Amino acid sequence: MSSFFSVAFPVFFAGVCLVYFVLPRAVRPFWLLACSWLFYLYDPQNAGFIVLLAGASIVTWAAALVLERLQSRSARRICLAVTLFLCFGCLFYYKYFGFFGEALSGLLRAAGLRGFAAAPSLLAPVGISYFTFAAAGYVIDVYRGKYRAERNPLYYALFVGFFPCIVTGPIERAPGLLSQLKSPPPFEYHRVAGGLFRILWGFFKKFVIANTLGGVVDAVYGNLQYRGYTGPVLLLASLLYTYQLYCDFSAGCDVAIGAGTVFGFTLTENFRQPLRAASFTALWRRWHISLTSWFRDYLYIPLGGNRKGALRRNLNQLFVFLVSGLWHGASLSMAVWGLLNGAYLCIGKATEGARLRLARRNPLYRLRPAKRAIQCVIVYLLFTSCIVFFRASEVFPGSAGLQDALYVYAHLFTGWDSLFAAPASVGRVLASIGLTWQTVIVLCFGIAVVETLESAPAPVSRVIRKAPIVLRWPLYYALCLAMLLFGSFANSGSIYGRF
Amino acid sequence: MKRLPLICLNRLISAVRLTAGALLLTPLLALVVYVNYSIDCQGYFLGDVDLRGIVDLILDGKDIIGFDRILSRQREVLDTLVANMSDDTVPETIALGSSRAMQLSQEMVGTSFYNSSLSGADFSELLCEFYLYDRRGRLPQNIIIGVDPWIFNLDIDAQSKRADPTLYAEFVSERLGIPIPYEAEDPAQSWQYLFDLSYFQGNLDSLQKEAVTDGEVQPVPDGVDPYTLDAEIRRPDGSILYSLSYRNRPQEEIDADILYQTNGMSFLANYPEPDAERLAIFEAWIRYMQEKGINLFFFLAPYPPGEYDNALAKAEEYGGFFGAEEAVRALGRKYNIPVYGSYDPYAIPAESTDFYDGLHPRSECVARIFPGIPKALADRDAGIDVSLSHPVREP
Repeated sequence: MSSFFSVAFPVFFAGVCLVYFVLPRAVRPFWLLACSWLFYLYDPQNAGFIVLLAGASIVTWAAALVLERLQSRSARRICLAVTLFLCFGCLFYYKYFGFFGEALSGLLRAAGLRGFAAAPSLLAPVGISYFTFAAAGYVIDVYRGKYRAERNPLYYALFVGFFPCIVTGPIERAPGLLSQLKSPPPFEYHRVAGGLFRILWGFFKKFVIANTLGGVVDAVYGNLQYRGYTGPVLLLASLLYTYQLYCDFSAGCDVAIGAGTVFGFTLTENFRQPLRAASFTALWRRWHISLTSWFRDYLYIPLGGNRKGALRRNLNQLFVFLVSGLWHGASLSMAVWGLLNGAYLCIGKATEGARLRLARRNPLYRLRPAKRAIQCVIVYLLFTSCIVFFRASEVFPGSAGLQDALYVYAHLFTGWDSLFAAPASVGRVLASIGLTWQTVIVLCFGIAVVETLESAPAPVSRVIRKAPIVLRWPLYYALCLAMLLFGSFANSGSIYGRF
Repeated sequence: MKRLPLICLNRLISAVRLTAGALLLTPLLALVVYVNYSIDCQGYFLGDVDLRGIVDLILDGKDIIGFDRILSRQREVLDTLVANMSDDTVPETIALGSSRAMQLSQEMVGTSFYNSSLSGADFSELLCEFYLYDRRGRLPQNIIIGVDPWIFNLDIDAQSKRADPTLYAEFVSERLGIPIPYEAEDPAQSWQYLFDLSYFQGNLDSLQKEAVTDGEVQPVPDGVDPYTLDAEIRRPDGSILYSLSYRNRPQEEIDADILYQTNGMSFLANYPEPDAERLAIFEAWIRYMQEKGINLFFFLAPYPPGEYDNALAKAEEYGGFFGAEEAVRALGRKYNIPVYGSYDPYAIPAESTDFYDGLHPRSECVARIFPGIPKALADRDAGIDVSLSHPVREP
């Protein structure tokens, strides 16, 4: 059950909740730990990796205790380095061994050295990127003295393996979650109801929007080599993929946050309407917040951040985004995705002044809504131009994804003439990739609902809980019926679940 | 401590509110379950949609053309039909057997009736015909068992391509208590589809489309007399009406068929005697049905005189043929089950003109043998021996 969107999850979650609220509060964390590990064990593919999860928990728990007792700075540094080496060594072994092995053997073959076979890609344990980062962040926090080492290994194991966070995050920090896990709050109706709505909201986004968009995107990206799609279709599929990715990932986080809320824990909001950002920098402040802030706190700032001049800042940014790209997947395409995002941020920073001056002279910018709309569209397009590499990597992990992304770019400007010459054929082409009238209406309606309800500053569940019952229940029913009638249930996996 | 009752009250109120919320959403779940069960386009609960199209025709009382093209799925049709029966529509009487019993019709039987015989049925198919009713709790009051002589012949098992060994083993193991190794189907697998949302949408899609029959199986148009059609017709009571030309074949052709059968009677080669183990299972089945309060009647469809004479002449080879009738009569006596008919045509009496071919007696011949359920029941209750007076000849 390495997905929230399988049939088994609601049954599992209901069972966990029933027992959870019957148990005395002091015992609840241990019940959650047992359930978290059961959640992990449920999928036979993961069963063997429970040792890895337990091992990562034990090693980092013990390391934090040792770090706290060590007085010598060098000893503490060595302890930290060894712990992080073990953490990231495992991550590297499972996620990147095949990729770097392939790259190395390719280089050696290019250099004329034969007999070096590419290393086989290993099956990565589900959630390894998430629990590794959570555990590593905790050890660093203890090293920095920001958080006291946890004495009870069970509480800590729950923090690392807490099942709502293990599939798609958010990547939690010890100061935020660990202290909450130790003392679960009592049952509170409105909180539980809000959490359940958040889960329902996640299901709606996943099944009605993300999966429906996924069907269209897959029809194009899954058949690049056969269909000979031209620019308009490729552009459309890429634009749609951006929104699919947002809905798919944020839906997983909605379920995670909703589940956490039901248990009484506040998890990190991972998205704040990133696709409505008016600048690329703002987008990255709102997209995958837990990962971005993790990189900021544990990599970007230690590298010098923006304290050592513009050149160093740009290099740091590029490096951080390169690592971020590789965190998402071991492929050249992901590396390019990361670098391109980093480059956009650097260019954005470098041109900030000039753009401000130009904006003052832009007559369209005198209308605030027009200015905002133009900025949002540009940011969306820029993000989509990166996302092509992300999507291509999804189809062909490894180096083949890069070729696929380049194919999209190479054909992006083809076929526009025939679009204008034979506009009547547009409907037929769209239907061939699954964009029927019904799909378009459902998508437009669904996106409008999502954008409207998420536009409030407070989380959507809080907004809904404040609404009167006569509005709330029709909405619950509408969401459920929309899922039943228009949802696409073919894909229960999550895109970010693979990372 | 003073706050404890307040806390308990709060919790109770919260629990009631959550339960009420869950109950308010229950209609949606009920809708999913209802649609998935009642439309069931993949046939997990009610049978395949194509088969259901055929079953709908049967339930609508239509004569069907083209059933002979889907003989490989005839048991599935029966299963789907039984699944769609209600307590009110379960026939009072059914016939089990092979095509040799398919001439038994509602008109002959005299009660509500469905002839559940399957073409070419062997021993396991015969028991499965019954099990399809039994496992769905749709047992009739009366069963006419068309006993073919080959059913106790182990040698023909390998020829049986339509049998379902798992279904047979399940019945014999679970219901008759005679263990036969088999791998039971997991009922949870299909029940998951009750709650499957993709399946729900598929069912809604199929609801929009017209019910599909097989494309080959068609009802006889309204107003058309099925007896005038030159096509094999399955009647709504499950009995078979051969095509006009087959029914009116020249006697020379039929005699040629009979002569051909003398070279090797269907399913009866290398059959020196009925298998004792199989007879024991058969007897256990009889007991099982009687324990369920079902009135049983054996029906032995005759063989053409030419074939019977040939079997008599090769008594060693066809020992099982004669032994089967003896065994059935013995069981009839033991369990007070009337035995109608005989493999021996001279006992009926029947001539070669009473057959469509070398295997199947004409409906007129069958009508002469079986008097109908009301009379059969009355005779049985009055202790009248309905066994044919003609003695079974020694091979």
